[in-house]
Parts: sequence; C-alpha cells; structure tokens
Amino acid sequence: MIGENILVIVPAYNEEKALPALLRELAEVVPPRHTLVINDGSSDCTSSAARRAGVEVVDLPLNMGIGVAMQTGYKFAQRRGFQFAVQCDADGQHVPAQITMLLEKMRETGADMVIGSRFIGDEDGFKSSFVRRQFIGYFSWWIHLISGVRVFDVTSGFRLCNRKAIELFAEEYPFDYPEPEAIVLVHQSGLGVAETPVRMRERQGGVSSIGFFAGAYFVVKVSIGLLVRRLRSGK
Amino acid sequence: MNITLHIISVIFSIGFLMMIFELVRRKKLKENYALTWFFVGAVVLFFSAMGDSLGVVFRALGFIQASNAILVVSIFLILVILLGLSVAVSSLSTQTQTLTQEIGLLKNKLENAEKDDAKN
Repeated sequence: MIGENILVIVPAYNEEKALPALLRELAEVVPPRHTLVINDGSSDCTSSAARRAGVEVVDLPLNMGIGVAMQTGYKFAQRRGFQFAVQCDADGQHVPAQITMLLEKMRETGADMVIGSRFIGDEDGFKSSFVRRQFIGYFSWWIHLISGVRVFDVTSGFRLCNRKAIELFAEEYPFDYPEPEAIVLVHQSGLGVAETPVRMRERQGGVSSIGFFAGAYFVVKVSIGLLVRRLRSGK
Repeated sequence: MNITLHIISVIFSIGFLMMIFELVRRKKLKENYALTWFFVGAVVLFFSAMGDSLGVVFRALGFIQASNAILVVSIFLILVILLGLSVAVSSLSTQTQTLTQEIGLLKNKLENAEKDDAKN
C-alpha cells in the first residue's frame, strides 16, 4: 500500500471487460476511496463494474472525450485536497504496482509531473506497433523543437502529478489526444517534467480509440495544437 | 443591371431583413447574432437598390456587372458571419464541457452524502 495522499484517476469509456481486473490490481496499491473511475458516458456497464469494486465513480452524462474526462479527475483531486494524482488507463496497459516507481522518480528529481515511459531504460514489455512508434518519435522531436523539453514517450498516459500540476490541470487541460500537449502546457507553466522507465502490457480488452482517419486527425491536430501553445505563451 | 434582376434583388433583400426582424421579435434569434445579419442585409439592400448608379464605382474596382459586386461583397460578409458562428460554437462547447464535469462531480458528491446518510 502506498501511504501518500494519492488519487488514481482511471478514465473509462466502454471498458466493462478490462476494468474489474485493473481495479483488483489497484486495490493492492491504494485504498478504494483513492481510486476514481471517470465513466465518460459509456453505453455499457462500465459504471456498475466500477461501483462493484467500491471505488469513487464520476459518471459524465455525455461522452466528452478523454481530455474532458481526465480534467474531471484533476478537478476532483484538486477539490478533495489530494497531494498526488496518477493517470492510469482502464484497458490494463498500465501496471498499478509501478506507481511507486513514478513516486520514486518524483522524489528523486523534484519534477512536478513524471511520465512512465516505454522507450527509455531497459524494460521490455509492450512497446506499441512500429507505425505508432514512428509517430510518437515525430511528436517527441516536435515537442523538443518547439519547447526544448525532451520526452521520449510523449503519448504515455501513465503519469504522476504533484499538487502544483493538479491545480494547473484543474484549471486548463487539452482536449482530444491531450497527452503530448499536456507536456508542453506543464513546461510552459514553469513546472518540471521527468520520465522514468516502466513496463507496459498490451490492452486487456476493448479496442483502441485511434483508427486510420482518427490517426491522421491526431497528427494534424496535435502538431498544430503544440505550435499554438508555443505561440500563445510567447516563451 | 437588368431591371427584372434589379427588382428581384431589392425584394429579396427587403424580405431577408424582415425575416431577421421577425426572428428577433419572436425571440428565436438573439440580438447579438442578429446585429451582424442586419448589417449584411442592409449592405445587400443598399447595393441592390443602387444597382447601376454605383456602376462607376464598381467599374473602377474592376467589376463588369453590378450584380457581381453584390455577390462578392455578400460572400465576404457571409464568411465573416460563419467565422463568428464557429467562435460562438467553440465557446458553447467549452461551456458544455465545464457543465458536464460539474454534473458528474455533483452526482458523485450527492451519492456519497446519501451513502453516509444511509449508514447513520
């Protein structure tokens, strides 16, 4: 059990299959009231699956997308006074036991946000498909170019935030594929970002939210979104 | 400009203005959006009514026909309005996001309070 005042945010859209197993794993790491499932307007039994596990549940009445769901979690964390918040995918890709590794890295570096990375260190495990790795590489390069931060696994959704980052995200969070943009947002707000190696698994159920056309939109939207952030801050 | 075309464009412009006025009166259209539409309607009516008497001006600008000038001006105004609508939709979508989040968080709070009540 982690002793810290930490909230695990699990955004879930139609994840009734994978969710129970993840919540069982999480129960070994944090108390049930420290896990928050954001049900993003699912049409299946995601909400009742979460409720059966006795965790906190926020049901959004409409499907608003990952960014809005995630920010709901940060607003929850901010209002309940949590000192730390972890993002964890509902599909089982992220390993709850590794939250301690994120915490260790935060203690070590003093960073405000720590990203669990598939691409640094010598952890094996699931590293995404070849095509996706190329796009992730491209975003990593693009983020480095426009903001000077070097993060390798920019799309990783396995992240730990401290109180400062929680307050920032409660105020502002990117929508639609928010992970890469959130890195730039944190950096431009004067907060520190660190990356630590983790092992990930293949998704345990459900289908990826990104198909071919969505992928093309993803690349264009995020590229422009990152650029706009850079222009807006003027830094 | 052909006299028939002249009359038709004036009638349509007046009809258009009346439609906007009626929508505002029935509260189907908010005044802030109506204002830009009124402006468009007024400009189109002005050009339609003037017709060929503005011919010198139009020709100086390179238009051969007055009706072409009306068309070009209308399209530019419509683009401005469409952009304004996209801005309005963006702000509405941000508002919906915030409201949805608040509803979710409030429901969670309510459920927890009800659970505590049931225990006592």
